Amino acid sequence: MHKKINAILIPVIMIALLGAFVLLPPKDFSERENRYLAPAPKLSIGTVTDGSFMEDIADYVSDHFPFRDFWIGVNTRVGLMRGKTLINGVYFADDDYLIEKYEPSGNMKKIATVVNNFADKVDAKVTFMAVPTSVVINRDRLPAGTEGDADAQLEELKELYDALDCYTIELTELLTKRNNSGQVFYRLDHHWTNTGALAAYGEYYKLMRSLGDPVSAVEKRYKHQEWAATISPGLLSDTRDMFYSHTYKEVSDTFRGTLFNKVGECGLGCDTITSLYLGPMFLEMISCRTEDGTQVPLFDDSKLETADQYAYFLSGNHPFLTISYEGAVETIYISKDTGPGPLEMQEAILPDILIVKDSFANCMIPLMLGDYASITVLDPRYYGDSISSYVNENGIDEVLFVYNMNTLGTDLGIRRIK
Amino acid sequence: MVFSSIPFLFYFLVLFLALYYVVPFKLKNYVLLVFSLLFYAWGEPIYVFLMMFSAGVDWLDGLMLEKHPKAKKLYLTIAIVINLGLLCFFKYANFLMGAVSSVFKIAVPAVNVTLPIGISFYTFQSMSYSLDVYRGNAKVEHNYFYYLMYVSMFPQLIAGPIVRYQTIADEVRNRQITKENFVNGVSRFLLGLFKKVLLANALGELFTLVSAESNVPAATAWLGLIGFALQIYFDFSGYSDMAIGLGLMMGFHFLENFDHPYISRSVTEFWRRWHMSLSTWFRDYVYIPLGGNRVSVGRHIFNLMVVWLLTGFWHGAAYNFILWGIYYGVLLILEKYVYGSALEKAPTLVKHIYTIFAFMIGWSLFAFDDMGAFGKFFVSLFGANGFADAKTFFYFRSYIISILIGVVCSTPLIGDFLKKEHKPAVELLISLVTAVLFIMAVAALVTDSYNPFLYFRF
Repeated sequence: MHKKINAILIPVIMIALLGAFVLLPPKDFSERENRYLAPAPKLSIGTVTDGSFMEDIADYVSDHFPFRDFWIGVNTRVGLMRGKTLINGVYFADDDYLIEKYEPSGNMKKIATVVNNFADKVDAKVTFMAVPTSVVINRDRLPAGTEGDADAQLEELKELYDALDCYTIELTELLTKRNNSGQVFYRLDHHWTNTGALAAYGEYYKLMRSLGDPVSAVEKRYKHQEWAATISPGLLSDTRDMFYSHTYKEVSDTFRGTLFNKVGECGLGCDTITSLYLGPMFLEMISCRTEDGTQVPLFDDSKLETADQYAYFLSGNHPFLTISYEGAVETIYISKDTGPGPLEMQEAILPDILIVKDSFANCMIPLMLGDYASITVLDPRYYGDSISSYVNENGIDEVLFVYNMNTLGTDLGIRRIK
Repeated sequence: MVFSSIPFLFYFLVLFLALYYVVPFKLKNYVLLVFSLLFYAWGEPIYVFLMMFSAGVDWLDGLMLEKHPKAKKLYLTIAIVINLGLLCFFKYANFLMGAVSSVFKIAVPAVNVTLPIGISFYTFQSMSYSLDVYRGNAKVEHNYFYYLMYVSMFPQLIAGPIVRYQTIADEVRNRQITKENFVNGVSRFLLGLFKKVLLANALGELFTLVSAESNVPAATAWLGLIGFALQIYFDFSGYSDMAIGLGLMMGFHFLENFDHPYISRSVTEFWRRWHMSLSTWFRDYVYIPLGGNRVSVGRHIFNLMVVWLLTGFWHGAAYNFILWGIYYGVLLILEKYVYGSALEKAPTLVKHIYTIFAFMIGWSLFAFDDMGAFGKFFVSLFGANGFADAKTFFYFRSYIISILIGVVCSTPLIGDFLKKEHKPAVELLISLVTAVLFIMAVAALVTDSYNPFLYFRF
């Protein structure tokens, strides 16, 4: 008898789903997954004979399947019930952390060669910051037996740093330590938190200050400190504090990022995003512009309403951004009751930096604001011109590469740098 | 197109069945033909014409055999030469050229032909028609479209079973499309779908993870190999179940293709239960014409080796498949002439352990078409890299439930349970479980996780 029930029940489920597909309005964009869904394919002799029409149909049907999120969540829960802790390339780790599996790319030597060639060509100080990802920093939370992933990443990191001829920032120990007291990585997103970014930037900052040789940028910075100390003694334990004291604010407690999207709803809650807080007066002075001059907000509150909340920082990825001060820098000193400071002085003594990066740098860049006269941000995936010429022509003092280890090996941008 | 995909399940199949049931009987064959060609063209938009040509050759040959009974041998030879010629060119040319150039150390121009999906299945199917007509075992089909429908019929087109024309000859013109057939067909199809999506894919993942690593310890290697063994069984028999189920929904009765091979107590028995449509094909069209076992011992051994060499080679144009065939040929000869009688007297447990070990080693050969990778894996199985490491525990924990479910499902336990009539409450429960499994299968397909097609080399 069960066969008879099956022969009715299953077709009913199928036809109900088919009905939902036909009746639900088609979506172009999936906010949750932060991507455009496959469009309805166009039928032509060309697309049929090369098979692309059929592939596109399959993508379209899969992307627009009704209640997609529900199905992804069901699939994850089934996997968890089977005892799996690795689902869709994501480990289900202790304390409800999702951690991306690490696959060594074997490309580290290639990348080092590209960066070394680049460093030879520019007059600036070149530093590489390869950020170990959650798989390394949350190694103790990984499912038993998968620690090899962390070792593999550390091996690649070592290979990269051994081959690089520029300055490098070693973050593994620091971030691991910081992770004991705070949270360096989000639970449900592959990015680091402000805590991680701040610790890493502090390390870079220390390196730049510690360099003994008379590099102009560092010299400038020392001068800047001395100068600033004359205006506002006592306030400056750190150059950054000259402009603002670091205050932080929780901006979202509903963040579910890229890793969540891979596994769907399975009862892991949400992350909170804590961000540097900058007063409106300060923000007003910041000019953050794309290549065509469009002003982009440093912190984009509207993105907190979308599924891709990490785009709050720098309002997402851009091929090219320049961040500098506009108008009266003095106002900040006035606001801090330290009296007006001269704008020309300010511009003369602060270094200019160029950051070549992936999205990990997005939440770090705002932390650097007080220390640089200008910050140029470049994503080489979309920037085809010679970056070294740009550095030399614009008198850039420091070049900082910021890449996370998980995607560095497969990143297509960094290998195109010239 | 493959059965275990959203486009097939929710669009192709629904549309096809609706149309198939609505049209009058005379048109049903044409609906099936058109959908079958669409089904094949979905993945092979160009090679669909090759299939039509290949079918045309045997169909024409059937007519010729009928018209010119005196020239039977000639016409049969022509058909076989063309069939095997096409198969050799599209499937084996790359491999043979490579082999020639490496053996004779000469440069041979590479032939870069991509393998048409399912060519081994439909060539064998179509060839069996010419052979059966020649032998007088099958009626001649005069309608090309009906014949093409038989060759291209989408349920068994790309992954078998190899349906011989004589099996369904009567049903081409006269078949019962009944409620009972439909009901049985749905459940059979679902069984196959669950095998493929919920068992084969889940276990294949394990083997993919393990084989991506190098120098694994023995326990990990065995876990991976168990994963592969269960994957290939559930994948292949799942496809056959889906094909048989779809056939039933349309009123066709295909022969069974798998009969719980993993419970066999000898390798000989294993091959009576594994991919039966292929072994009977080779038995009827190669082994018996060579004389079968009614010959001298030497000749019999020769016959067996020829059949198993070909069986291995049929599975793919690579050395490992040839070795895999030879391996089974040798085992079957040993069972026949050396230790068969001793095995017969051994305790059941010993028989099972022997057979399981034999087919597991077989799968390790089958799984790697790169002989270097096979060598590394093979020594891993026997402890070249230690017994176990931390990762072994991870694999064990992640896949042991799936493995246990797989082992239970490869015995007749569940099938026997379902065959019995139960109380209505139990029957209802079975249906609810079926619905839950269906939802799990759809979830796996929508998520688009690991869902390989294993037969692209066949």
